[in-house]
Amino acid sequence: MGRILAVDDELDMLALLKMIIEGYSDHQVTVTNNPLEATELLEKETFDLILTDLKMPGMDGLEVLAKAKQQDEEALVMVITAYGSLESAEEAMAKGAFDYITKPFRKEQILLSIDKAMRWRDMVRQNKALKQRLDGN
Amino acid sequence: MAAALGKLKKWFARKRTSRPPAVSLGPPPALLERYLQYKRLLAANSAILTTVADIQVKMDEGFLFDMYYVREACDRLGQEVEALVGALNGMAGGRYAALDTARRRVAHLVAEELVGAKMQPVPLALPLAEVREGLFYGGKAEKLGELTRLGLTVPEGFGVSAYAQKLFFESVGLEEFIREAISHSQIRNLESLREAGEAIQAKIMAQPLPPELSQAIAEHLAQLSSSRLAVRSSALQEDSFFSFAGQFETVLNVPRDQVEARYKEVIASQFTPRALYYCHSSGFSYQELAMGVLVMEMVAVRCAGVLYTDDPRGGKGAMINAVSGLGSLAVGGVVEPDIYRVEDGRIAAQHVGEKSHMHVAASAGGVLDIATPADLQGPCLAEDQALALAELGNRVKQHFGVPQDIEWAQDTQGRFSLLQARPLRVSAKLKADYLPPQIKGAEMLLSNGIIASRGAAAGSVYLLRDEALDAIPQDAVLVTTRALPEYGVVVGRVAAVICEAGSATSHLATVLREARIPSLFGAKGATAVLQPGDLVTVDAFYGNIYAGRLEELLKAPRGGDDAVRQTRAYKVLKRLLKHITPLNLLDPRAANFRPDGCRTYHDITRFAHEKAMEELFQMSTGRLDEEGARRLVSTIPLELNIIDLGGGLSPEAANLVKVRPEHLTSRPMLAYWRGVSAVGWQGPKPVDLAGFMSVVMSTATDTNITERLHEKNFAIITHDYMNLSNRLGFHFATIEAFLGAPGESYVSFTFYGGGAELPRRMRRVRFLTRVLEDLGFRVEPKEDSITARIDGYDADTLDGKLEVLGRLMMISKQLDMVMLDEGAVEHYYREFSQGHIPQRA
Repeated sequence: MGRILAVDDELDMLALLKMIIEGYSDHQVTVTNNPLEATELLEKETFDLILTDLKMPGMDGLEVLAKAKQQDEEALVMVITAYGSLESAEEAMAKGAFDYITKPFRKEQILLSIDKAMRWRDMVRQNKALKQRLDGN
Repeated sequence: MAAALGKLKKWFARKRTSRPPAVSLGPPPALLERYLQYKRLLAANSAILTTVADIQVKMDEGFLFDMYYVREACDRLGQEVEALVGALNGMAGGRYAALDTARRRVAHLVAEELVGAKMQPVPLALPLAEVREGLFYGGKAEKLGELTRLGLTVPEGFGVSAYAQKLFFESVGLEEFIREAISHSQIRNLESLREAGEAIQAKIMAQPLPPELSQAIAEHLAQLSSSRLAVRSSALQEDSFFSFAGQFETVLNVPRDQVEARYKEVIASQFTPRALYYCHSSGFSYQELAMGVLVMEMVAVRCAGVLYTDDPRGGKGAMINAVSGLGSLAVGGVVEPDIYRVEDGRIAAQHVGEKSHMHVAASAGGVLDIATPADLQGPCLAEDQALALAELGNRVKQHFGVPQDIEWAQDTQGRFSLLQARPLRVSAKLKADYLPPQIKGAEMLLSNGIIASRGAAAGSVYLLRDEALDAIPQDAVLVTTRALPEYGVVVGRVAAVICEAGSATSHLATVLREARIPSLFGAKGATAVLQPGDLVTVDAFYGNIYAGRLEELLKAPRGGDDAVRQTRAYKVLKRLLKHITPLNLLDPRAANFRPDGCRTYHDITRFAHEKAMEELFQMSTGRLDEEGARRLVSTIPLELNIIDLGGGLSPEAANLVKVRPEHLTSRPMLAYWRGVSAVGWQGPKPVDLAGFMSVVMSTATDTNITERLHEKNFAIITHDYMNLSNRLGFHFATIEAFLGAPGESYVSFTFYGGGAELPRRMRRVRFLTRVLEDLGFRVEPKEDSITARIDGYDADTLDGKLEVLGRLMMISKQLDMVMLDEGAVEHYYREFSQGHIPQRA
């Protein structure tokens, strides 16, 4: 089980993401359509994965990515981008996003991507723990 | 007779004087332009059909998409349709201005759907039973209005329309105030948005309602008997999946004299920082947030709660939760409610919650939170009551057709009332969606289909022959050799469609997807493998066809979540599709095949494509001169002038006035020429005297023929196109072919005239008709002329047909002279069929 923050300016998309992720997995999803609210949430709480739309009015997903990385440099951020704007997704990857997914997508795609991210997170944590044990010895 | 012979003599004389060779070898600009316009039209046609197919797939196969996708797809369609109509008018010298009018009309409707319905003046308030969709009362009020009309128990009440809010805002200058407040707030500062919201809310509370609204509320209040009321929001966007409604105010237990103030409070509740951010950032006008309000009598409540007609987590049965007193504590986790699970008409599980405290109506108005008295701490509902409530929910679900999330209350007499009903989001488990690519133990008949329309269906095979569409039995699995738009009329009659040719972006595929008829295209060999009357199951998930009826496949969900269908983007797109996908112009020969018959983008596309082909065909019928033409020289004594518009001749021929067959690089021309040279030039058939005389007589007296005998033979070619008009003996033929994408490729053929007398010429036409029909052409013979056309096949198949056509032209040259009787028709038909038509394996 993990905690996911989803940021998208379209309310329906957020509601769907929440419903699908919570319906088909054990993860808990916090949603906001306001990137500003998102940065506040990132300061206050910790999330295992951040899903953010790239193109949002007022602030873009890259800023959410930057904020998440500033809070925790190992933060997992997955960006959601419209088909045809892959360059911005590539830019996000270059700036440390874990993965990207293009809209429209099927629920299976997002669930698989989340699964992949969560496995990665577990692996990183295990690695860290093992390393600490080794260092301690 | 002498005059006739004179005319012939004159013609032979004229023929000997040949003009000097043309100087310029470049293609005539007008022809080139017309051809390039055609190519532009084809590109637009393909982009339109691809976009339409994409939209249909995104809608039907469970994709998550947003308004950005919807707008973008509509923009793309609008641009391509404009380009398409522009190209047709470019080809036709602006003769299709009416089509542009039709395009503008559709574009306008699309734009309107995208913006949303404009709010119209409607009654300020209406009794619940009269509130219907489209009156701007909001989703909650509309649903309750519907339930009231169904005869279910809903508390007495009335709705106040969203239009009333607009009137209120306008009457006191609130619109301007809100616009200013939003524009002055800092979108990136939550505190600033909060302040703007609070200022707007204070302003709303401070302003008086316009007298007509006050009066309307007072009049409707007078019709209600209860002294206490519930005032609830009923936002217009509430039927959208992610409703604002949860955040908006519901005020319970309102004394009559406070209804106006609470109305304003509910209206004001929508100006939250989140909503303002949304308005500010996405150009979402605050007017779209305009809400209706519901005023309902309070129920003398014993207990209340929420009923899910289905388990939202995908399990079995209905779920009820119940709390003592008012329902405001039923959700939210503050108290532990009773939970009842009802399955198959019995209580499958029951859990009595702790219910430590409850909400009750305060005598001065408002709600009191009290400790639950001991006598109310037991189960809220007896078993029979829970079952009755579940049954009530079932009726609501059946009426609306989807699982429901219902708010209910039970009064002190034990009667249930419905307070709200909305679609429930049910998540099916992911694994339940999985269908294996191949069903074990089932006999697979074919496995090579392209999915034109997703789904599965079973039925008896019906092989379409002779285009007898009327004879198709109900619920048959229609099997055809190709995917013609005309087959769209089978919608509503067939269970599934299988075509041996065709692509997923064809007109027919679009129509079948729209009608949700499972369809496989490109299923080569289907007409040979599938026998008429065989029961088969068409698996248009993976492209397979199985013997027999496979329930496993038929039960498989087509894809898509109910939840996706509740989103605004989905609903808007669904409304938009009415103006995009339906194809009303199925048959080019029908009376409605006109610009003003075009109701949708699809109609316009179909019409423009059909007419563009006609325009292109006309290229060779005008008077062509030899400028830009080269003479084709071969062993066949056929004078043919070649005009290459691009890619029809090899680069070596660039400066040659005379070209040879080996210079040809035009695919259709090469195919046709293969046929011509396979037969070669054969001398005239041995003719009887009557035959000879009939040639002389009919030729000499038909001025049309003698005029046209002067015309030269031209072939306008490109790498994938040929428009060849030629005279062989005394008849004229135009063969046109485009060998491009499957949905665009075709061969068309016209034939006219002959040297012999009419009965013999008509016999030759009957001979040609039989051969062409065997080849799969649609043929329209008329006396001694024929128009024929074949499409719906891929370029490779049409390539073969063109070769046979080349043979047919050479064989039938002067054949009219020997068509003495019907026996000759039969004889030459057999001879040609056996010698020149490749037999199917």
